[in-house]
Amino acid sequence: MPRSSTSSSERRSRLPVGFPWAGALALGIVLLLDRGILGWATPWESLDLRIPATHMAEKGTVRDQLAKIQLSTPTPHVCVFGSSRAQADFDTSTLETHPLPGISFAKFAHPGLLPLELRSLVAEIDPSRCRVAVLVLSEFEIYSPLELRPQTFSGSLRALTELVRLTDLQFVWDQREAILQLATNALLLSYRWRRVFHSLGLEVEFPIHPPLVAPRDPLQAFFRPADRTPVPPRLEREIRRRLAGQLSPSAAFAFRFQLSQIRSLRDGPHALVQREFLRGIVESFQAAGSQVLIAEAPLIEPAGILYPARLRSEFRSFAAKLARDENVAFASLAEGPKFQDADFQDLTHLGPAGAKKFTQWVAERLSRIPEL
Amino acid sequence: MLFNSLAFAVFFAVVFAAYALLPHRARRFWLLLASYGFYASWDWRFLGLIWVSTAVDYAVALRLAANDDAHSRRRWITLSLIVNLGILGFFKYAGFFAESLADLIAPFGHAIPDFALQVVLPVGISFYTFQSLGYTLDVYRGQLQPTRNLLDFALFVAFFPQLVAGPIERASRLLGQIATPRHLSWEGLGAGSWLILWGLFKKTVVADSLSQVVDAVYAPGAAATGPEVVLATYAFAFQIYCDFSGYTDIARGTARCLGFDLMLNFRLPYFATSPADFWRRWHISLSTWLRDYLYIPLGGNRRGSRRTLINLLLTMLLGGLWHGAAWTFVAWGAYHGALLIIQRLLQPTLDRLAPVSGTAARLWWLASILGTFHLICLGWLIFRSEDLGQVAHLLTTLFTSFEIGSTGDWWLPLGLLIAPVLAMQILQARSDDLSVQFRWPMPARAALYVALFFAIVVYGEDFGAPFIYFQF
Repeated sequence: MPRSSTSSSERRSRLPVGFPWAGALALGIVLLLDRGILGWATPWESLDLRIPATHMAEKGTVRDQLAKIQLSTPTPHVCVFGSSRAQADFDTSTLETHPLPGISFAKFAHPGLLPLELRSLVAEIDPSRCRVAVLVLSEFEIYSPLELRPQTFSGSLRALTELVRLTDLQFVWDQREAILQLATNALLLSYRWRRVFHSLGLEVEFPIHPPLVAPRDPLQAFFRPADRTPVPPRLEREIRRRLAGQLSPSAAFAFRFQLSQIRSLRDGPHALVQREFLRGIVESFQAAGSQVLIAEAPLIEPAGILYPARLRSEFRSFAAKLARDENVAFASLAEGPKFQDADFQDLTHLGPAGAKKFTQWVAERLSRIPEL
Repeated sequence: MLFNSLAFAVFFAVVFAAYALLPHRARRFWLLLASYGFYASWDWRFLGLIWVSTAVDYAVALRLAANDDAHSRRRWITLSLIVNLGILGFFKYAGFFAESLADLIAPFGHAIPDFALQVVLPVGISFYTFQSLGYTLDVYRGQLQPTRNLLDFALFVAFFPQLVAGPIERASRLLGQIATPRHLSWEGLGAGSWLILWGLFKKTVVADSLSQVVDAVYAPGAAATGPEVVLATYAFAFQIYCDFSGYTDIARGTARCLGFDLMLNFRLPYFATSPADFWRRWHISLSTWLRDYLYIPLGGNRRGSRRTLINLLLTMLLGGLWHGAAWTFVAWGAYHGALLIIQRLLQPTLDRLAPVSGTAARLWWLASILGTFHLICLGWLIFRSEDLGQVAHLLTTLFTSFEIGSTGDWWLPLGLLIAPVLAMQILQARSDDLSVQFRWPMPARAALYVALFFAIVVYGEDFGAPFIYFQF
């Protein structure tokens, strides 16, 4: 008996006095739940059903997550990446016949999924799971101001490190809070998805007050225009005149916001950073043995008066050079279908008819890739 | 750098890690450096004010201790009063008085220069000036020996966990802790982490969510109905409690992790059974400061009943004005002064009426709590209003507009937000232990921590909403 009593007290003395065991257990449970539950498809499927279609950003990010989980199946995949334009413009359900039988499409697309966010996403998924990666790009992706939007976007530490390397100290300091949030996104999945969960929380099930819900509008939350310079009224009037009668009520709602978004396209140091990110994305796929197709996304013609016309041709030159340098395919709209104003549902997204035309064109280009 | 920001999480992690590795002497220097860095992140220009307050009060305290001549001592303490109250008065009240004067002389065609109306309020000024002034007053009254270590005193004034919104510490408590080596322990880390977690929950989940309803009703020009005003005022009662006590919990928690024990600032205030009891439970560091350095020097209750009532009113008026340079705060202070006076006058009658035991006593106790809560809520209506015009408008609305309005949609989310705080407080009150959760079995505690953590991450409002008391 003395022996067991001694060994028991010895054991006790080895434990730290006052150690917060409950806290340690809680930490373990948090980590388990964070990685376990959020890496499982069923909760996301039920979330997807609950999110209204008008909440493009939340719906897009939830579907990204589903696509990420879907990639773990052994089926060969074509992975489509892009912003809300890829979300709206590329729609395989509009294809009359599937040109690539046996191949699944996994789409990662939602508002604001620009090169930095794409870089982060690609660093997170296993690029080798994508037999072909389709990057739906345009001058938007290169000339949009570099602005961090941590809400629900992934934030891989690798992409953040690249961001810090490619920008300067001033940018990093100015964006320090956003960078910290992105780092937290990378470490804690539940933090990353808080915007989605929150949007489905109290104020939806128990509406507090209509005016109080308005500030949470996903458009406002996800896009803060980097450039507060107002669009000159003359240009706004001109675009309205040219699109008279063609804008749907929902498009009219987003009109002003989209104007400022397009107006903020400009050349500058940020364009170099965005290009570097795109190059990094392509190289990641190449290194994983995946093929890449860069597909140019269309933009409604009247909006072209909001930014320098040369940006589109410079984008094409860059994409063509990137394709040559990295030995990947580039589908330029200069050699593709022509889109009319009526093909668009608003200033930046195609409507159903336009999306069908765009998807068929991309699918046709995909079918030319021998690996498929 | 707000407590509820990621920047502070990183800042504190770095401060704590280095602190844990350093020897005692270097720790104090490191904490002072971190405290000045913390304050500089708000506005480095106002660091000078802290330095002035620190240097003057350090020197004054030494002169007071070295001097026996009453006249000379009075001159030195007057210097401390002038410097601290001068800094506070100029930065906090110059704009207010200039604005009031401008309103007064405007009808006569006169105006006040713009610069007089645009004095920026340095964050935390009301807290650190009172804390530093309390030190010299203690030395003046012979209740405390001054420190000769400038580093210790500078850290006492600027200690970052309580620098910008209290608790207003007493030198007799904190200075001694600074001077002696602090022992870091798992217990301290566990208790501190709990306070931080609970404080963050109260701030980001409860207070910031409640603010949506409060802001909608109390927005200037908002057209609310009587029941909406009632519900929004209840919401504000819990918003301000969760906001301020949440801040205090985080402050006490960070200090606890570093081995310091800051004073309790809230003791279940909405369980108070009278206005006087409320002030023994609400913002305890301020109410005891006002008691010790204002009410008692004015004579307290030793100079007859009439003078006692005047002292109560004066103390509460100044307490109201301390909260901010606005007539609503003055009115709020006067209202609480009036409540304390009425209570004092009625107390003998109430004592006679109060049942001593049984169900009647329990019902009396419950009625006292509910009655006091509603009196406090009426005070919050004055406190939260933008101006006295809005106070009058909301009070009129309360008694003239009886439409349900949006309250049908509000009560459930508000109830869900308040319920966890209330449930915890009931448990704390029943056990008479503010750390009641530490008595629970380990799995129950772990479940509580997990629930709070996910609630903060998922339902916490966007991090970075400022604390209400930062403006005071």
